[in-house]
Parts: sequence; structure tokens; C-alpha cells
Amino acid sequence: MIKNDLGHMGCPFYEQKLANGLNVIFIPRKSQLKSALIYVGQGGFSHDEEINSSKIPFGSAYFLEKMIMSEKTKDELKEMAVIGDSTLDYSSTCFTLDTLGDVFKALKVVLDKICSFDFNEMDVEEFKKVNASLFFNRSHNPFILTKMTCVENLFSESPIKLGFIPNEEQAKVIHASALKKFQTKYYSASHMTLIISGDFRPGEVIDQVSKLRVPSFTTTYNKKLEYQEDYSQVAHFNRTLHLPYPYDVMSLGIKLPKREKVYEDYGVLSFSMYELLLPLLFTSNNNFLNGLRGINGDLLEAKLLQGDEDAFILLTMKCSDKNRLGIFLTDYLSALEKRYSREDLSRVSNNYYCTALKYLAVPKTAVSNFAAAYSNNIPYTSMVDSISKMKYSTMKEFTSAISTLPKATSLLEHV
Amino acid sequence: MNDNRVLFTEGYGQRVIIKRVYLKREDTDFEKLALLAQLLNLSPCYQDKKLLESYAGGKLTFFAYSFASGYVLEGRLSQAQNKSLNFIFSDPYKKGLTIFNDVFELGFKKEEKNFETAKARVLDVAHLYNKDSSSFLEGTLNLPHCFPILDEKLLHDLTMDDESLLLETIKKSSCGTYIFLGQEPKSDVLALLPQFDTDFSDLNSSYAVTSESVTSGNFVNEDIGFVYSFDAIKDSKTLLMTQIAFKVLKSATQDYFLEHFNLQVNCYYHFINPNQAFFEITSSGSRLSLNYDLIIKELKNLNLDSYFAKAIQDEKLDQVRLAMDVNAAISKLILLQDFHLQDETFFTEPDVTIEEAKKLVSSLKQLAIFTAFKQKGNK
Repeated sequence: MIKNDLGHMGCPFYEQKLANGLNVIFIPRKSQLKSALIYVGQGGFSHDEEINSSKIPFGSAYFLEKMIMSEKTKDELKEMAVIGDSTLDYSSTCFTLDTLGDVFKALKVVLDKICSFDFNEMDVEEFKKVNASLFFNRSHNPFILTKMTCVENLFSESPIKLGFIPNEEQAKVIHASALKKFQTKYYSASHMTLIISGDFRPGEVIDQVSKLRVPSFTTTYNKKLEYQEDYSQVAHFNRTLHLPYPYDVMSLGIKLPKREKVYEDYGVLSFSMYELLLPLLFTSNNNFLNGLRGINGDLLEAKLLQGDEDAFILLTMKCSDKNRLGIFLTDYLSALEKRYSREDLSRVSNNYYCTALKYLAVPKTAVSNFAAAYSNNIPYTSMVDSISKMKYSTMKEFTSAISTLPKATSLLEHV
Repeated sequence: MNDNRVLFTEGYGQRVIIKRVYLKREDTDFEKLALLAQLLNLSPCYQDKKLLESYAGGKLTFFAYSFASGYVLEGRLSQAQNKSLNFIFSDPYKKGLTIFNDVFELGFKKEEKNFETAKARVLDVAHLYNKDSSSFLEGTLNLPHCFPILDEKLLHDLTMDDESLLLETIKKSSCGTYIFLGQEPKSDVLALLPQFDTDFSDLNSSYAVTSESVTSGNFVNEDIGFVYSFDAIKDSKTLLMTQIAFKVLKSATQDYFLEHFNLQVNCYYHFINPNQAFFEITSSGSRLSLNYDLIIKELKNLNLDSYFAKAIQDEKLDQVRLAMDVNAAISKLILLQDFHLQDETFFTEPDVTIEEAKKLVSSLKQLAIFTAFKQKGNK
């Protein structure tokens, strides 16, 4: 395994690509806990209209994740004193395993399930039944609807506007046969990375991983989902919902440029800059937070989401006076580069570094943060290092450009 | 008396100091304390010109909750801890500790906008709890570590002066405790903090064992709660066995509802004190109230035999959570402190047999039943 030690964080890691195409990352930690993560480089962002002549309905990635890390799988792992879990975002699907015992044995259980397509139509229907309230919420919960409306306002074509969890109507058309085709295409060793952390030697990790059965590559024929998104404008500037809720809520979305364009301008630094945007401009920015409080508003949620070439910032705020909130946001967003000082950048990047040190100390959070950065093909420690060295002038230039980007809102007026 | 707790570990990459101050019910209204905790979260006041997060990513979090026959204000200071930080900071922990002490001394910044935001946040929590039958029941019973039912009018009328006076009362409180978690320091950190005259050893919390019921048109779900008594927990092994016993009840109850009513229920247990616990069943819809008599009759006769092995397994998973989540470790430390228990084997897997767990389950006595149901006519 090749050793990398980046960022002076006391956290070297090892990497090796096996002959079967599987990439392995190992993060040694002196801990009782052993954690492993199976990273699949396909998330909820739809890329295919059809695979092997079958329509791939929206929500397939989510259902497949839950079919693999099913309650049955979790119970099986529990008997081995292993906590099994899974997560999905736009770009990736992750299966996590945490134990004080044998993590390789647990990996074998999950990988065997992946190799053997261990689910059928009855499992899919049962999952729909058990999770009916989750799918119902996607189309009925006022808070979720407000956020989704804002994202739909931002994007006219991109599948990013759908999110990655289906609503009840979308869930109805998902069947095991389509999930298996989706799995055939994306769940192969060459699309996967194993991230392992614990008190092991690198040689021991490779030895154990080499014994695991991994899904091989199968050729599939797919019809790509084609779309054209105009990054210079939004689909709608605002839409207002009238629904029962305790108070009024406003979501504000900022449509970030095509990621390819940002990468051309800033290179690998763009990922680090994205990481700093929310704390620097919103969640840890006292100008923003105090300004909101000054008009009886409050920040409820702030997210920066990325999928394929698309990315957006979504702020959701409590709103007691929509006109005053509108004026405040227009003013604040007009010159974002002036809303923070050199000291603020230093504080936020230091804080990011310190939080990373906490994450890297625990095998579970070490593997999950490596996985999150892995979507952009960069090691987590490298990203943290570049964040801690971020130049004020570069960040100023970047945030100044954000002020000029297209924006949209959605308003929930409670009834 | 100083029942302070320390857990020396490098496993979480951070150090945490927790201060818990006890106030008697006659010393304050909970509304005031809940608002103070929010104010301290929003705009803590301290002398250092730099923000706390500048010192090894310092974070300060405050909580208010019921405890024994009063309330607790809890403050948590957490900072990253790693050798790499030596290159960036010169003793960030000393500065962090000074700020921690300052906030308990100086309180919050007196700004109207923060005051109103804090009030709105507490009100939002209160509204949320008024809809959730489980939180409502726990609040009505003043269960330890829970949020009592708030008087919204009283909360609306609170002023900054009320909060400043409460801060003075807190400063005068002689009952409190500390917890330290992190790398072993060169000197005793807790000795540098203001000391309390008494800890929580003499505080009692017990509940009247009369069955009660509440109904509300606001509830989105329903709840049935049982108070159980058992032999006092005097060591960490008995604590573990008691936890396993309630996990057995939980699994068996969930399966019963699924099998007989095709209904998914959630079950929780909370310790009230070393010899009482509250076990709850919560479900959406109105089927708990509609089938109440049958449920109470049949739950008495649940066959638990097949659930012991699974419960012991679940307890092992809790041990995994302890290693991966600093908050799980803090919760365990707080529980040990609440019950005045020592635990030399904090990170060791449980060694409990099925027979031991069975014996403990058979010793559980059901003392009372509480219900929180939807008002008739509300679906």
C-alpha cells in the first residue's frame, strides 16, 4: 500500500488499487473500534433513463441502498456485534460497519449480499409499506415542500431538483427488476472503494481484503439521461405555498456555476472553498446571524449540495416579515466579499481544521469524512490542509462572484 | 462532597468539561432557566476578545432540564485535542477554561434581538413538545433530563432582568458537579474550577404512583408509560442488567404490536432514580387509546424468553456506540454520576448471562400507568 501523510494532522493513510479494480484506503488508528465503509461511486443523482432496456425510475438508488442494508442485513450484523448502516447523497452510496470485533467478517456479509442480489420484489413492496410515512412526507410535509420548491425554482432541467428520496407516487413504480439492473451497472469493484480504519497493519488489511468476494464488472447498455441546464438563470424567482405550519418559512437558493467551470477557474482548491462557504458566509457569520435576528428571523438550516455538474446553496429561515427579510437578504447577498474579515476566515478555517482532528481521531468519523471528500477524488486530509491555508484574497474573489449568481426563493405562509 | 467524574481517553480527539448546577424548584421557574440556556447558547458573554472557537475549535453548549425535585443548568465546553495543535496554539485549554468560567459569571450579552430569538426558540421547542404525547408526558411527570411543560404566558412576559437575577441565583447555588473527558492533563483541571459544597448524592427523585392520564387535541401520536421499580442499582453490572431487562421489554412489546395490531410502535425507557424507571410505548394514530384495555391486559402476559439473547446483543452494540460517539460516552458518565456509581470497566463489553437478565426482569414491579392520548374526535 502507498503511504500518504498530508496536512501534518497525525493521520497518514494508505491506498492501493487491487487487480480486480477495487480501490482500498486504510487509515490506521489506535482505537478499540474498527470501522469499514463500502463506497459506491453512484448516488441518487439520476444518470440513466434506461439500463439494459429497462426504465430506471427516480429513487432507484435509494431503494437499492435500503435493499442491501436491509433490516435483515442489520440483524445479521447485530448478531456479530456490528452496527451496520447506510447513507446516500447525490454522488455516492455508502455502507458503514462499526465493531469492536472482526470488521472483515462483517464486510464479507455485506459484499456477499451485493454479489448475490439478495432481495426480491416482496422485499421492495415490504419496504414501501413500512416506510409509507417517509414517502408521504416528501410530498406533504410543509417544511420539506418549501425547500423542494426552492430547488425546483433554481433548476429547470437538472435531475438535482428532484432530490434523491422518492415521494409516494415515485415510490409506487420502483420494482426489484430495475434495481437489479441499476446494481449490475454501478455495483462493481471498479466503481467501489473500501475505506477501513482501526488498529491494523497495512499488510494485514490488504491480506484480509484480498480474500473478500467483490462484484465483477458486467457490460450494460444504457440510455443516458440528457438534459440542458442554463446556469445563468433560474426557472422561477419565487413561489409561495400556503400550508399549515407554526410559522412562516423562507428558503433561499443560490445556483452555483457548472462544477466543470469552477474547476477550470480554481482547480482542486474549489472543493476546499465550497467547504468554507457556509460557515464563512452564513452559519458562523455574526453579521448574517445578527442581521437575521434584528428582523426577528432565524436560520433553521443551511446546506451546500452537489451532484454531477450541479451544485447549490440552500438556506431555510424562519420569517416573521417577508418584506424585511427580502430586503435584508438582497442587501446582504449584494456584496458577500464584504461580509467577513481576514480574522473571520482564519477563525472559520482553524475551526474546520480542529473539527477535522476530532473526526480523524475516531475510526467511524474518519472513514465517513474520507468518503465524503472521495466524491471529488481528493483525500480528506489534503482538503483540510488546503482549507487551513486558504488565502484571503482567493476567498474574496470567489465569494464576490457568488454575489452575482442567480438566486430563487420559496415562501411558506402558514395558515 | 465532590462526586466529580473523569474519563481519561484520547479516543475522541477532544476534551470536554461539563458543569451541572442544581436549582430547587422553589428557586426558579423552568421557563426562566430554559430561556437562560438559550441565551447562553446564542450570545455568551466573556472577557476574551477572540471568539471561543479560535481556541482549538472551542464550543460551548448549554442545556436545561428537570432533575430530582428541581432543575439543572448544564454547560459543556469541548475543544479539539491533538498533538498537531501544539504548532498552532499555546495552551488553548487554559483560555477555554477561562471563557467557560466567565460565561457562568457574566452570563449573556444584553441585546434585545438575541433575547427575542432565544424566546422564540424556546417557544418553538415548547410547541413541538405539546404535539408529541411522549415529550408531553415526560414533561408533565418532570422526569429527570426532560423538558417540563412550559407556561407560554410566563415565558412571553420574561425580561432580561429576570434572567440576570436567575444568573445570580445560579452563581449562589452550592449544589453541582463536574465531568472531565479527554487526555490526562498534567494538573487536575477540575481543581481550577469553582467548587460546590454538595453534589447530587443527596437529591431524591421519586414519583407518586397514582395512575394518570392526559388528553389533548394537539397530539400527533399517543403514549402509554409505565413506572417500574426494582432493587436499587448499586454497581455498574446491575445497571447493565437493568438496561438489558428494559431492552427485553422493548423488543417483546414492539413485536407484540406488530403481530397483533400490525402496528409499529416505538419504545423508550428512562431511569427516574436508581430504583425506578419509566417505560414508554408511543405510536402514531389512535390505536393505543382505542385498544387500551386489551393492551394492558395482554402486555402483562408477554412471553419474554426469546428476547434475552437479542437484548444482550443490543447492549453489546451500545458498547460499540460508546467507542464511536463522544456523546454516548458523556451520557454514560452522566448516568453513572446521577446514580453515584463507579465503573472501572467503562469500555469493556458486558458480561451478563441470560439467567442474570431473567432474574432481573422477574424482579421488575409495575407501579403505575400513565397515558397521553388524543382527544376523542381527533384522528
